[in-house]
Amino acid sequence: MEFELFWRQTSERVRSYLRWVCGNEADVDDVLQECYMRALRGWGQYSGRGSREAWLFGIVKRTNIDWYRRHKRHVSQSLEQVGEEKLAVEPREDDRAEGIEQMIRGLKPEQQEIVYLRFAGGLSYEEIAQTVGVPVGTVRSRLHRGLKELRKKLKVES
Amino acid sequence: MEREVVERLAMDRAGGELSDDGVKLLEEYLEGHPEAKVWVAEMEELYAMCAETVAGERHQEQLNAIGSMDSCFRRNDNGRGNDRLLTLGRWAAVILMALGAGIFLGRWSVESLEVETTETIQVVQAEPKEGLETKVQKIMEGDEEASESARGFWEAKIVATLGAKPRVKREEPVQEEDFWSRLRGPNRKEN
Repeated sequence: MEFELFWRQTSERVRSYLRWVCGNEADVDDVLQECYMRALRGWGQYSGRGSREAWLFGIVKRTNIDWYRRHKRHVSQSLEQVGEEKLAVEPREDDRAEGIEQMIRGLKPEQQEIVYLRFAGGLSYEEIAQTVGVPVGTVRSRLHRGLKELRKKLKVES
Repeated sequence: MEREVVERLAMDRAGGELSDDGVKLLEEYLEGHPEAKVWVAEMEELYAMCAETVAGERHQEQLNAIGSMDSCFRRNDNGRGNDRLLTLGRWAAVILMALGAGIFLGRWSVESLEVETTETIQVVQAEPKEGLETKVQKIMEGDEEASESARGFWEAKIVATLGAKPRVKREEPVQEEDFWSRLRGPNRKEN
């Protein structure tokens, strides 16, 4: 029951995060399921050190990487499928929002990761630091640089 | 205060990461520095825009979440299960092929040995057996072939031995009795 409660509290954020990091909408549910299966298996092993959300997102990160190593989906193939099926992130009516989306996807990987964990995952600096394995100062620094980069791109566009 | 520091504090405040004391200090600083207020406003707007873009999907997800949550676990993992079955199947096929190859090679080598053994036996059996006396007679008669064969060699040796002069026994030198032997005497038993 405790796990089920945890799942209900966090699955929405994990799904939101996966929609950004997975290349394909079709994979999101599968990866999400596998994440929680792993979390359930390791539920008793959680030592209590740090946040449980951070522990979960660590599992999510590793599961996503393992998933793509196993399936080795090519980008071109996934893009074709995205064209046929629903997009991972639906196209918005607002062009500006879509433009910002593309700019976020154009950030450096380490900055993207922090942005997704922060805004999609809803993690605090401390939790992000625990998930990624860097100090809190580095998390703040990367997030700040990511936002500065976005500002620069927005200025160029305007 | 540098712009970068002000922006980071603004970012922390927008994300709820700044303590109450920190918020107070920032606001006091902004009161005295109007240009810093512009930096803070920019950063907060950017933060909000980013949050809306990235986390905005979560609002839509909330509507679908309740319906999809249970289906997530009810969904069978055919994809994963099939992958595992495929991997197991491949390994099973490899193992079976290896076993089959090993059995085939083993039987082939046994059969070839049997053939060789049979041939060898046949070859051996093809040789006519001669009695010893016949051979000795042949050697006595000077049959080189008989004497040159391995058996012939030993038989020739026997013949040579039989025909040889009696050996002269060498007389062994008499050993002098050592001190202890003398002490013990001829009939005394050793302890």
